[in-house]
Amino acid sequence: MTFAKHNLLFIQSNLKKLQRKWLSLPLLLLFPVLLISLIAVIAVSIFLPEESEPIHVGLVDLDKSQETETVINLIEESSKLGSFIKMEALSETEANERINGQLSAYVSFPEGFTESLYSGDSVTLNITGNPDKQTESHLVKELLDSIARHIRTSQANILTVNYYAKQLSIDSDTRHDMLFQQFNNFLVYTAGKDKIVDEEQISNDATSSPVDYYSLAAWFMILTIWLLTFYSFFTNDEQVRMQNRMRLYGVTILQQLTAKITITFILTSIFAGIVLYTYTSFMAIPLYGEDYGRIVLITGLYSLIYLIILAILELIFTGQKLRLLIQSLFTLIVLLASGAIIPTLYFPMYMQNLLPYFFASEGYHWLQEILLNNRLYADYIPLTIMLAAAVMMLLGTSAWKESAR
Amino acid sequence: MKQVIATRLMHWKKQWIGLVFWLLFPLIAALSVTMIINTLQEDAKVPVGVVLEEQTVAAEELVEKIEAASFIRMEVLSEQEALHDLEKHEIDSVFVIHEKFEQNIKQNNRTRLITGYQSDMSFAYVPVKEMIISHVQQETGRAKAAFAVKKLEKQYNGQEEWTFEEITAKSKDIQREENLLDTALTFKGTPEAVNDNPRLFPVWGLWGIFSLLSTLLVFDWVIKEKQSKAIQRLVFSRWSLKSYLLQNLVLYTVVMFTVDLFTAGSLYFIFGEWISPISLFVYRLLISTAAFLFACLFKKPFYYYTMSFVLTLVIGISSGALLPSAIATDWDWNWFDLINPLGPVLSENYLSFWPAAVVLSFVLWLFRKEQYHA
Repeated sequence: MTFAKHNLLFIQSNLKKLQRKWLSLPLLLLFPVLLISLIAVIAVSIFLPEESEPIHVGLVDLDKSQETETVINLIEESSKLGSFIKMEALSETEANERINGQLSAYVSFPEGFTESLYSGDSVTLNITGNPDKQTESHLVKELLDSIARHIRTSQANILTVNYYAKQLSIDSDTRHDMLFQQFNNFLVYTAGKDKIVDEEQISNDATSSPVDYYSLAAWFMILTIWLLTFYSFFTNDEQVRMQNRMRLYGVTILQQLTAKITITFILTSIFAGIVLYTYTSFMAIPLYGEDYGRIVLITGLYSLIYLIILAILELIFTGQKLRLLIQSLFTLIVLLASGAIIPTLYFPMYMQNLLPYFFASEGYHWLQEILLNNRLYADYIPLTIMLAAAVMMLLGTSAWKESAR
Repeated sequence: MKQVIATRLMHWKKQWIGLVFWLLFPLIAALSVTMIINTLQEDAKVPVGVVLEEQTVAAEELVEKIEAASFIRMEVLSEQEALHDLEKHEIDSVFVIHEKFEQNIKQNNRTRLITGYQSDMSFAYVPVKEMIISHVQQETGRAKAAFAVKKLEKQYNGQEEWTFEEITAKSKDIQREENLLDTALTFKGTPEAVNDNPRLFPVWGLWGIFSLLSTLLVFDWVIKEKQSKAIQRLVFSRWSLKSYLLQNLVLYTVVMFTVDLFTAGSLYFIFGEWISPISLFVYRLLISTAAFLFACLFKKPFYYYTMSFVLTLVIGISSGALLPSAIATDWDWNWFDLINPLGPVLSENYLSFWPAAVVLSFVLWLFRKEQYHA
C-alpha cells in the first residue's frame, strides 16, 4: 500500500516537473525526429546519383603498342556512357600535374606491357592515387583488380592459342597477326560479360519496400530515443543529502525508479502511438483491431524492458557522466542489434544466432512481421520471460544498493 | 601560474580516477570501435540463394567457387523456396543456374546461362553478380580458346586431334603457373604500395568525436568551481575570476594536448595512421575553447552533461565522422565543409565557420567579463 502511495506521489511530482518545464517538451519530442531527419537527408543525398561527382581516372600509356592503344580507347569510350567513373587518356607529365587536383588516380601501362602479356611474363599495372582522395583511389584499385582478373583469363587463353598455334605450320608474322586478332576478340568478349546473367527484379507489392522498412525503423528509433530522453528528463541530479532525508520517510530508491519508469512509459506511449497511427495511415498499411492489440503489447513489452535496464544501469553506475555514457552506449547497442539500422540478415552468423535472446531484436522482429509482412500472429512468451528476468534483476540490484548504503 | 597549478593539483588528487579515465577515453573508444568494426566486417556475410537446375560437374564446380568466396554465405535451395525467401528478404539475392549449363559452356554459348534475382532491398547484389560472372567467364573463355584452336587446326590441316579437355586444361595450367597480371596502388609522394582496404570509419574521425565528448565532460569544472564556496574568496587574492578561469583553461589545454600527442603516437604505432601535430593542436585549441564557452552557459552540471551528449551526437552525425567513409566521399561536401567542426582533423581545413565562431565568442566573452568587473 505504501509502495503504491509513494509511487503515485512521485509520479505527481514528476508531472509537476514537466509542467514547470513544459517549454522543453517540444524540444524533447523534436530532438529524435530532427536527428533522424538529418540522417535521412544525408542518406538521400548519398543515394541520389546526380549529386555525386564522377571519379576522374587517367590512363597513361608508356608502352605505346597497338594493343594498349586499343585497350585504352575501348576503356575511354565505354566510360563515356556511365556517369560514375570518367576515364581519359593522358600523357605522363599531364597525369603528374593533375594528380594533385581533380584526378583521383591514374593507371600506367608500363613499358613492354604487351610484350610481357604475350610471352607470359608477369606484369604489374601501377595505380598512382591522389593522397587527398584515398577512398576513390581504393575504389579504382578494386575496379582494376576485377578488370585484371578478366584480362588474366583472357591472357591465359591467348597464350593457350599461341601454344597450339606454334605446333601448327604457321609462319611467325601470320601467327602474330592472328594473336592480335585473338587479343581483340577476347577484349570484346570480356566487355560483353554481362550477357551471362539475365537479371530480374522481384518486388512484393503487399509487403516491405525500403520506404516502408525504413519508416518503421525510424519510428522504432524515435520511440527508443524518446524513452531515453524522457527517462533522463525525470532523472534528478539531487544530492546524497536529499536521498538520505527521503529515506527517513521510508522511501526506497525502487519506488522512485518505478515512478519514473511509469511516467516515462505513459508519456512515450501516447506520443509514439500518435506517430505510429499517422505512419500506418500514410503508408496505407491495412491493420485490424487485433493488430493494434499485438503492436501495443509488443511495443509495451519492449519499452518496459528497455526502461528497466536503464534503471538497473542507473543503480549500478552512480557517477552522472559515466552513467550517461553507459546508457547512451546501451541505447546504441539496442538500436544496432534490433536491425533498424542494418537489416539483421547481414550480421555475422554467430550474432544472428544470439539475436532471438535479445529483447530489442525480438521486439523489432515481431513489429516487422505484423506491420510489414501482414502476419496475424505474434509470440509474446520470449519477451515476457525477458521482462520477468529484467524485473528480477532490478529488484536484486536495488535490494543490494539499499543494503549497501 | 605556479599557484594555479598547485590548486589544480589539489583538485586532481581527489578526482584523478575520473580524470584519467576521461583523458584516455577517446583513445580507448576509438581503438575498440575500430577493432570491433573490423571483426564484424570480416565476419559479416551476404546470404545468397543458389538454385541448381542441373547436377553437372560444371554447375557443381561453380557452386563450390561461390561458396569459397569470403563474403558470401551460400545456400542451395529450390527455386520456389529461394524466391519466397527473397520476397521475405531473408536472403539478399538468388541466382538460378539453368539447365544445359555445362552443355552451353562447351558449345561456346554464354548468353543467359544464369538468372539473377534481386529485390528492392538487395544491397549486395552487384558484387555477388560480378563475382559469379567472373567465374563463369573463366569457363566460357576457355571454351572459346578451345574453339579458336580447333578452328586453326582445321585451317592449317593439323593432324594432332587435340581434345576440348586437353586445351582447357592447358589454359588452366598456364593461368595457374604464370602469375601474369597484377595491380599495385601507391599514393603520390609515398613510394610504398598500399595493401589493405580503407577503414570503414576513419580512425581519426572517431577519435575526433570521442575527444569532443570527453573534453566537454572534463570541462564541467567550469560549472562546479563557479559555484563552489572557495571561489567567492578569490576576491581576497590577486586574481579575478576571469583570470583564474583562463589560467585553468590554459592548463587543461596543455595537459590534454600532451595526452593527444600520446594518442597520436599510439594510433600511429597501431594503425600506421599519422596526423600532423599542427592539425591536432588547432583541433585541441578549438574544442577546448568551445567546451569552455559551452560550459559557461550552464548552471547545473547534469543538464550540461546531457547537452554535451546531444551536441556530440549531432556533430558526430552531421560531420560525417561517424558515417562510413565510402559513403562520406560520395557526398557533395562543399556547403558542408564550411560548418564541419572536425575540419582540422579530417581534412586539414583550418579556416571554416567553427574556428571563426569560437574565436569570436571567446573575444566577446573576454570583453563582457572585463566590463562586468570594471
